[in-house]
Amino acid sequence: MVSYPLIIIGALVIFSYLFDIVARKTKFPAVVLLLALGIGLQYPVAYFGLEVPNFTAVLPLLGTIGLILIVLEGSLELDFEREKLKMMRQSFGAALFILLVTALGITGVFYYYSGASFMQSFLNAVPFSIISSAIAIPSVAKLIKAKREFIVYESTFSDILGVLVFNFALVNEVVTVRSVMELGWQIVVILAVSVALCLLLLYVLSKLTHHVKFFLIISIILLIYGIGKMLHLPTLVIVMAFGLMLRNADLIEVKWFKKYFLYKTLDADLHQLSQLTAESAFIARTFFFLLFGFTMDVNSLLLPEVWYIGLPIIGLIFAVRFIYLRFVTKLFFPEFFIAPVALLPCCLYLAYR
Amino acid sequence: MLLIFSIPLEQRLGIVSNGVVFLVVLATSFMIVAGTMGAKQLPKD
Repeated sequence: MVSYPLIIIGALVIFSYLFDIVARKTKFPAVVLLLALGIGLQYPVAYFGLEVPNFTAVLPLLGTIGLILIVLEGSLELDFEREKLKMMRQSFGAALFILLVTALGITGVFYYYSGASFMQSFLNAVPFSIISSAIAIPSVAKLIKAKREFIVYESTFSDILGVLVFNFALVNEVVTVRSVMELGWQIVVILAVSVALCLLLLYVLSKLTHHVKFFLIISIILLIYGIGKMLHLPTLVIVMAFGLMLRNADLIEVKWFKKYFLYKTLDADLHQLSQLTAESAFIARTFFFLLFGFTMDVNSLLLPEVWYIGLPIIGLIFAVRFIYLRFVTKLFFPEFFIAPVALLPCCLYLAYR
Repeated sequence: MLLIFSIPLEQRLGIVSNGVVFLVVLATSFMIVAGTMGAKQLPKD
Protein backbone atom coordinates (compact mmCIF):
# COMPACT_ATOMS: atom_id res chain seq x y z
CA MET A 1 0.00 0.00 0.00
CA VAL A 2 1.64 3.23 -1.15
CA SER A 3 -1.10 5.52 0.17
CA TYR A 4 -0.49 4.98 3.93
CA PRO A 5 3.18 6.06 3.95
CA LEU A 6 2.23 9.07 1.81
CA ILE A 7 -0.51 10.07 4.25
CA ILE A 8 1.82 9.59 7.24
CA ILE A 9 4.74 11.49 5.67
CA GLY A 10 2.46 14.32 4.54
CA ALA A 11 0.76 14.59 7.93
CA LEU A 12 4.09 14.60 9.79
CA VAL A 13 5.53 17.38 7.64
CA ILE A 14 2.34 19.42 8.14
CA PHE A 15 2.65 18.87 11.91
CA SER A 16 6.24 20.03 11.76
CA TYR A 17 5.19 23.14 9.86
CA LEU A 18 2.52 23.86 12.50
CA PHE A 19 5.13 23.37 15.24
CA ASP A 20 7.30 25.97 13.50
CA ILE A 21 4.39 28.42 13.61
CA VAL A 22 3.79 27.62 17.29
CA ALA A 23 7.53 28.09 17.93
CA ARG A 24 7.43 31.47 16.19
CA LYS A 25 4.57 32.65 18.40
CA THR A 26 5.63 31.10 21.72
CA LYS A 27 9.46 30.79 21.34
CA PHE A 28 9.03 27.16 22.43
CA PRO A 29 11.59 25.26 20.27
CA ALA A 30 9.97 23.28 17.45
CA VAL A 31 12.55 20.51 17.80
CA VAL A 32 11.37 19.76 21.33
CA LEU A 33 7.80 19.51 20.04
CA LEU A 34 8.98 17.14 17.31
CA LEU A 35 10.76 14.99 19.89
CA ALA A 36 7.61 14.94 22.04
CA LEU A 37 5.47 13.96 19.03
CA GLY A 38 7.93 11.15 18.22
CA ILE A 39 7.74 9.84 21.81
CA GLY A 40 3.94 10.20 21.76
CA LEU A 41 3.66 8.20 18.53
CA GLN A 42 5.18 5.16 20.26
CA TYR A 43 1.93 4.63 22.18
CA PRO A 44 -0.65 4.38 19.34
CA VAL A 45 1.84 2.24 17.39
CA ALA A 46 2.16 -0.15 20.35
CA TYR A 47 -1.58 -0.04 21.14
CA PHE A 48 -2.67 -0.95 17.61
CA GLY A 49 0.22 -3.37 17.17
CA LEU A 50 1.43 -1.64 14.00
CA GLU A 51 4.54 -2.98 12.33
CA VAL A 52 7.23 -0.35 11.77
CA PRO A 53 10.67 -0.72 10.23
CA ASN A 54 13.81 -0.45 12.38
CA PHE A 55 14.43 3.30 12.24
CA THR A 56 17.62 3.21 14.29
CA ALA A 57 19.47 2.17 11.13
CA VAL A 58 18.51 5.30 9.17
CA LEU A 59 18.72 7.74 12.08
CA PRO A 60 22.50 8.39 11.98
CA LEU A 61 22.32 9.02 8.20
CA LEU A 62 19.36 11.35 8.57
CA GLY A 63 21.07 13.11 11.47
CA THR A 64 24.25 13.63 9.49
CA ILE A 65 22.41 15.04 6.46
CA GLY A 66 20.43 17.28 8.81
CA LEU A 67 23.60 18.45 10.53
CA ILE A 68 25.29 19.37 7.23
CA LEU A 69 22.23 21.25 5.99
CA ILE A 70 21.69 23.05 9.30
CA VAL A 71 25.33 24.18 9.53
CA LEU A 72 25.21 25.29 5.87
CA GLU A 73 21.95 27.13 6.50
CA GLY A 74 23.40 28.80 9.61
CA SER A 75 26.68 29.81 7.97
CA LEU A 76 24.89 31.24 4.91
CA GLU A 77 23.31 33.75 7.30
CA LEU A 78 26.50 34.86 9.03
CA ASP A 79 27.84 38.25 7.94
CA PHE A 80 31.55 38.59 8.53
CA GLU A 81 32.40 42.01 9.92
CA ARG A 82 35.49 43.33 11.64
CA GLU A 83 33.39 44.19 14.70
CA LYS A 84 32.39 40.53 14.98
CA LEU A 85 35.95 39.27 15.43
CA LYS A 86 35.66 39.65 19.21
CA MET A 87 32.41 37.68 19.28
CA MET A 88 33.93 34.96 17.06
CA ARG A 89 36.95 34.69 19.36
CA GLN A 90 34.64 34.55 22.36
CA SER A 91 32.47 31.82 20.86
CA PHE A 92 35.53 29.79 19.81
CA GLY A 93 37.03 30.10 23.31
CA ALA A 94 33.72 29.11 24.89
CA ALA A 95 33.33 26.11 22.58
CA LEU A 96 36.89 24.85 23.21
CA PHE A 97 37.01 25.41 26.97
CA ILE A 98 33.54 24.07 27.69
CA LEU A 99 34.11 21.04 25.47
CA LEU A 100 37.42 20.02 27.05
CA VAL A 101 36.58 20.74 30.69
CA THR A 102 33.12 19.13 30.48
CA ALA A 103 34.59 16.08 28.71
CA LEU A 104 37.24 15.67 31.43
CA GLY A 105 34.59 16.00 34.15
CA ILE A 106 32.31 13.42 32.53
CA THR A 107 35.34 11.18 31.98
CA GLY A 108 35.69 11.15 35.77
CA VAL A 109 32.04 10.08 36.14
CA PHE A 110 32.42 7.20 33.66
CA TYR A 111 35.78 6.20 35.10
CA TYR A 112 34.26 6.04 38.59
CA TYR A 113 31.08 4.15 37.65
CA SER A 114 32.30 1.82 34.90
CA GLY A 115 35.89 1.11 35.80
CA ALA A 116 36.84 1.50 32.12
CA SER A 117 40.22 2.98 31.14
CA PHE A 118 40.75 6.75 31.08
CA MET A 119 40.82 6.95 27.27
CA GLN A 120 37.72 4.77 26.90
CA SER A 121 35.89 6.90 29.45
CA PHE A 122 37.09 10.05 27.65
CA LEU A 123 35.93 8.67 24.29
CA ASN A 124 32.45 8.08 25.71
CA ALA A 125 32.43 11.47 27.45
CA VAL A 126 33.23 13.65 24.41
CA PRO A 127 29.83 13.28 22.65
CA PHE A 128 28.11 14.49 25.85
CA SER A 129 30.26 17.62 25.90
CA ILE A 130 29.43 18.80 22.39
CA ILE A 131 26.77 21.43 21.91
CA SER A 132 24.66 20.14 19.07
CA SER A 133 24.24 22.85 16.44
CA ALA A 134 21.43 20.80 14.88
CA ILE A 135 19.24 21.70 17.87
CA ALA A 136 20.87 24.94 19.04
CA ILE A 137 20.63 26.83 15.72
CA PRO A 138 16.91 26.25 15.06
CA SER A 139 16.14 26.87 18.74
CA VAL A 140 17.57 30.38 18.70
CA ALA A 141 16.29 31.31 15.24
CA LYS A 142 13.88 33.87 16.69
CA LEU A 143 16.29 35.57 19.07
CA ILE A 144 17.91 38.92 18.29
CA LYS A 145 20.82 38.73 15.87
CA ALA A 146 23.68 39.29 18.36
CA LYS A 147 22.45 36.51 20.67
CA ARG A 148 21.68 34.22 17.75
CA GLU A 149 25.09 34.65 16.12
CA PHE A 150 26.99 33.75 19.29
CA ILE A 151 25.05 30.50 19.56
CA VAL A 152 25.43 29.70 15.84
CA TYR A 153 29.23 30.18 16.02
CA GLU A 154 29.65 28.50 19.40
CA SER A 155 27.59 25.41 18.56
CA THR A 156 29.21 25.02 15.12
CA PHE A 157 32.71 25.39 16.61
CA SER A 158 31.69 22.93 19.32
CA ASP A 159 30.56 20.39 16.70
CA ILE A 160 33.77 20.80 14.68
CA LEU A 161 36.10 20.69 17.69
CA GLY A 162 34.08 17.82 19.16
CA VAL A 163 34.51 15.70 16.04
CA LEU A 164 38.26 16.48 16.10
CA VAL A 165 38.66 15.55 19.78
CA PHE A 166 36.46 12.45 19.39
CA ASN A 167 38.50 11.18 16.45
CA PHE A 168 41.67 11.95 18.36
CA ALA A 169 40.48 9.85 21.32
CA LEU A 170 39.33 7.16 18.91
CA VAL A 171 42.68 6.56 17.21
CA ASN A 172 44.96 7.15 20.20
CA GLU A 173 44.99 4.73 23.10
CA VAL A 174 47.41 7.05 24.88
CA VAL A 175 48.17 10.76 24.39
CA THR A 176 51.73 11.33 23.16
CA VAL A 177 53.61 14.31 21.71
CA ARG A 178 53.48 12.58 18.34
CA SER A 179 49.71 12.09 18.46
CA VAL A 180 49.17 15.76 19.40
CA MET A 181 51.46 16.83 16.52
CA GLU A 182 49.46 14.62 14.16
CA LEU A 183 46.28 16.33 15.33
CA GLY A 184 47.85 19.76 14.61
CA TRP A 185 48.87 18.56 11.15
CA GLN A 186 45.34 17.28 10.54
CA ILE A 187 43.93 20.72 11.38
CA VAL A 188 46.36 22.46 9.00
CA VAL A 189 45.45 20.01 6.22
CA ILE A 190 41.71 20.41 6.72
CA LEU A 191 41.98 24.22 6.70
CA ALA A 192 44.00 24.18 3.47
CA VAL A 193 41.59 21.68 1.89
CA SER A 194 38.65 23.83 3.04
CA VAL A 195 39.95 26.92 1.25
CA ALA A 196 40.72 24.97 -1.94
CA LEU A 197 37.33 23.21 -1.98
CA CYS A 198 35.44 26.43 -1.25
CA LEU A 199 37.13 28.07 -4.22
CA LEU A 200 36.33 25.05 -6.38
CA LEU A 201 32.66 25.04 -5.33
CA LEU A 202 32.36 28.77 -5.94
CA TYR A 203 33.95 28.34 -9.37
CA VAL A 204 31.59 25.46 -10.23
CA LEU A 205 28.62 27.55 -9.10
CA SER A 206 29.68 30.49 -11.29
CA LYS A 207 30.10 28.29 -14.37
CA LEU A 208 26.95 26.19 -14.10
CA THR A 209 24.31 27.13 -16.64
CA HIS A 210 21.97 24.17 -16.08
CA HIS A 211 18.74 25.19 -14.35
CA VAL A 212 19.31 22.61 -11.61
CA LYS A 213 22.52 23.61 -9.87
CA PHE A 214 21.95 24.02 -6.15
CA PHE A 215 21.19 20.37 -5.49
CA LEU A 216 24.42 19.58 -7.35
CA ILE A 217 26.32 21.90 -4.99
CA ILE A 218 24.61 20.35 -1.93
CA SER A 219 25.38 16.86 -3.30
CA ILE A 220 29.07 17.77 -3.76
CA ILE A 221 29.12 19.00 -0.15
CA LEU A 222 27.52 15.73 1.04
CA LEU A 223 30.08 13.77 -1.00
CA ILE A 224 33.01 15.73 0.46
CA TYR A 225 31.58 15.32 3.97
CA GLY A 226 31.14 11.58 3.48
CA ILE A 227 34.71 11.09 2.23
CA GLY A 228 36.03 13.25 5.07
CA LYS A 229 34.02 11.29 7.62
CA MET A 230 35.40 8.03 6.25
CA LEU A 231 38.90 9.38 6.82
CA HIS A 232 37.88 10.67 10.29
CA LEU A 233 38.44 14.29 9.28
CA PRO A 234 36.32 17.16 10.65
CA THR A 235 34.83 18.07 7.27
CA LEU A 236 32.14 20.16 8.94
CA VAL A 237 34.80 22.90 8.69
CA ILE A 238 34.40 22.80 4.90
CA VAL A 239 30.61 23.11 5.15
CA MET A 240 30.87 26.11 7.45
CA ALA A 241 33.68 27.72 5.43
CA PHE A 242 31.73 27.36 2.18
CA GLY A 243 28.64 29.03 3.66
CA LEU A 244 30.72 31.83 5.17
CA MET A 245 32.73 32.38 1.98
CA LEU A 246 29.66 32.47 -0.22
CA ARG A 247 27.84 34.86 2.07
CA ASN A 248 30.82 37.19 2.38
CA ALA A 249 32.48 36.73 -1.04
CA ASP A 250 32.07 40.41 -1.91
CA LEU A 251 34.19 41.40 1.10
CA ILE A 252 37.27 39.56 -0.19
CA GLU A 253 39.44 42.34 -1.63
CA VAL A 254 41.75 40.19 -3.76
CA LYS A 255 41.98 40.98 -7.46
CA TRP A 256 42.30 37.43 -8.84
CA PHE A 257 39.51 36.24 -6.58
CA LYS A 258 37.19 38.97 -7.83
CA LYS A 259 38.13 38.24 -11.42
CA TYR A 260 37.64 34.47 -11.39
CA PHE A 261 35.10 33.82 -8.65
CA LEU A 262 32.69 36.73 -8.41
CA TYR A 263 29.92 36.93 -10.98
CA LYS A 264 26.84 39.01 -11.66
CA THR A 265 24.12 36.70 -10.33
CA LEU A 266 25.96 35.65 -7.16
CA ASP A 267 23.51 37.47 -4.87
CA ALA A 268 20.49 35.86 -6.54
CA ASP A 269 22.18 32.43 -6.38
CA LEU A 270 23.00 32.96 -2.73
CA HIS A 271 19.38 33.77 -2.00
CA GLN A 272 18.15 30.66 -3.82
CA LEU A 273 20.73 28.40 -2.20
CA SER A 274 19.78 29.75 1.25
CA GLN A 275 16.12 29.09 0.51
CA LEU A 276 16.73 25.58 -0.76
CA THR A 277 19.07 24.70 2.12
CA ALA A 278 16.57 26.00 4.68
CA GLU A 279 13.72 23.96 3.17
CA SER A 280 15.83 20.79 2.88
CA ALA A 281 17.09 21.27 6.46
CA PHE A 282 13.48 21.61 7.59
CA ILE A 283 12.58 18.21 6.11
CA ALA A 284 15.72 16.48 7.43
CA ARG A 285 15.18 18.02 10.88
CA THR A 286 11.52 16.99 10.94
CA PHE A 287 12.19 13.33 10.29
CA PHE A 288 15.34 13.10 12.37
CA PHE A 289 13.75 14.44 15.55
CA LEU A 290 10.49 12.56 15.02
CA LEU A 291 12.28 9.26 14.54
CA PHE A 292 14.71 10.07 17.32
CA GLY A 293 11.79 10.63 19.71
CA PHE A 294 10.12 7.49 18.37
CA THR A 295 13.18 5.33 19.12
CA MET A 296 13.65 6.68 22.65
CA ASP A 297 12.94 4.18 25.40
CA VAL A 298 10.93 6.12 27.98
CA ASN A 299 10.92 3.19 30.42
CA SER A 300 14.70 3.37 30.73
CA LEU A 301 14.18 6.46 32.91
CA LEU A 302 12.86 4.17 35.64
CA LEU A 303 16.27 2.59 36.17
CA PRO A 304 18.11 4.14 39.16
CA GLU A 305 21.56 3.74 37.54
CA VAL A 306 20.42 5.98 34.67
CA TRP A 307 19.89 8.77 37.23
CA TYR A 308 23.12 8.06 39.16
CA ILE A 309 25.13 8.55 35.98
CA GLY A 310 22.86 11.02 34.16
CA LEU A 311 22.45 13.63 36.89
CA PRO A 312 26.20 14.26 37.45
CA ILE A 313 26.60 14.58 33.66
CA ILE A 314 23.81 17.17 33.45
CA GLY A 315 25.24 18.99 36.49
CA LEU A 316 28.71 19.10 34.93
CA ILE A 317 27.45 20.34 31.55
CA PHE A 318 25.73 23.33 33.12
CA ALA A 319 28.27 24.02 35.88
CA VAL A 320 31.15 24.37 33.41
CA ARG A 321 28.98 26.43 31.09
CA PHE A 322 27.89 28.69 33.94
CA ILE A 323 31.44 29.33 35.12
CA TYR A 324 32.81 30.11 31.65
CA LEU A 325 29.92 32.25 30.40
CA ARG A 326 29.46 34.12 33.67
CA PHE A 327 33.09 34.91 34.42
CA VAL A 328 34.93 34.84 31.09
CA THR A 329 32.62 35.93 28.27
CA LYS A 330 30.25 37.85 30.60
CA LEU A 331 27.35 36.53 28.56
CA PHE A 332 24.72 34.64 30.41
CA PHE A 333 21.11 34.88 29.29
CA PRO A 334 19.92 32.97 27.32
CA GLU A 335 23.31 31.52 26.26
CA PHE A 336 23.67 29.51 29.48
CA PHE A 337 20.51 27.53 28.73
CA ILE A 338 21.40 26.65 25.15
CA ALA A 339 23.53 23.53 25.62
CA PRO A 340 21.72 20.76 23.78
CA VAL A 341 23.29 17.34 23.79
CA ALA A 342 21.71 15.29 21.08
CA LEU A 343 22.92 14.61 17.66
CA LEU A 344 26.41 13.26 18.13
CA PRO A 345 25.83 10.92 21.09
CA CYS A 346 22.66 9.60 19.52
CA CYS A 347 24.24 9.05 16.12
CA LEU A 348 27.28 7.44 17.67
CA TYR A 349 25.47 5.25 20.14
CA LEU A 350 22.74 4.23 17.72
CA ALA A 351 25.21 3.61 14.89
CA TYR A 352 27.53 1.38 16.85
CA ARG A 353 25.13 -0.57 19.05
CA MET B 1 45.07 5.36 8.13
CA LEU B 2 44.64 1.60 8.17
CA LEU B 3 44.86 1.79 11.92
CA ILE B 4 41.82 4.08 11.96
CA PHE B 5 39.68 1.66 10.03
CA SER B 6 40.71 -1.38 12.06
CA ILE B 7 39.49 -0.08 15.43
CA PRO B 8 36.25 -1.76 16.53
CA LEU B 9 34.38 1.27 17.81
CA GLU B 10 31.42 -0.68 19.12
CA GLN B 11 33.70 -2.29 21.70
CA ARG B 12 34.87 1.06 22.96
CA LEU B 13 31.54 2.90 23.03
CA GLY B 14 29.88 0.46 25.34
CA ILE B 15 29.91 2.07 28.77
CA VAL B 16 26.89 4.37 28.49
CA SER B 17 23.33 3.08 28.28
CA ASN B 18 20.71 4.54 25.95
CA GLY B 19 18.76 5.58 29.07
CA VAL B 20 21.55 7.95 30.11
CA VAL B 21 21.64 9.43 26.59
CA PHE B 22 17.85 9.89 26.74
CA LEU B 23 17.95 11.54 30.17
CA VAL B 24 20.69 14.01 29.19
CA VAL B 25 18.98 14.86 25.88
CA LEU B 26 15.69 15.42 27.71
CA ALA B 27 17.23 17.60 30.42
CA THR B 28 19.19 19.79 27.99
CA SER B 29 16.08 20.15 25.79
CA PHE B 30 14.06 21.41 28.77
CA MET B 31 16.82 23.89 29.58
CA ILE B 32 16.51 25.26 26.03
CA VAL B 33 12.79 25.66 26.56
CA ALA B 34 13.48 27.60 29.78
CA GLY B 35 16.06 29.79 28.02
CA THR B 36 14.08 30.57 24.89
CA MET B 37 10.79 31.09 26.73
CA GLY B 38 12.52 33.40 29.18
CA ALA B 39 14.09 35.33 26.31
CA LYS B 40 10.64 36.53 25.25
CA GLN B 41 11.37 40.06 26.32
CA LEU B 42 14.13 40.38 23.74
CA PRO B 43 13.08 42.71 20.94
CA LYS B 44 12.69 41.32 17.44
CA ASP B 45 15.14 42.24 14.66
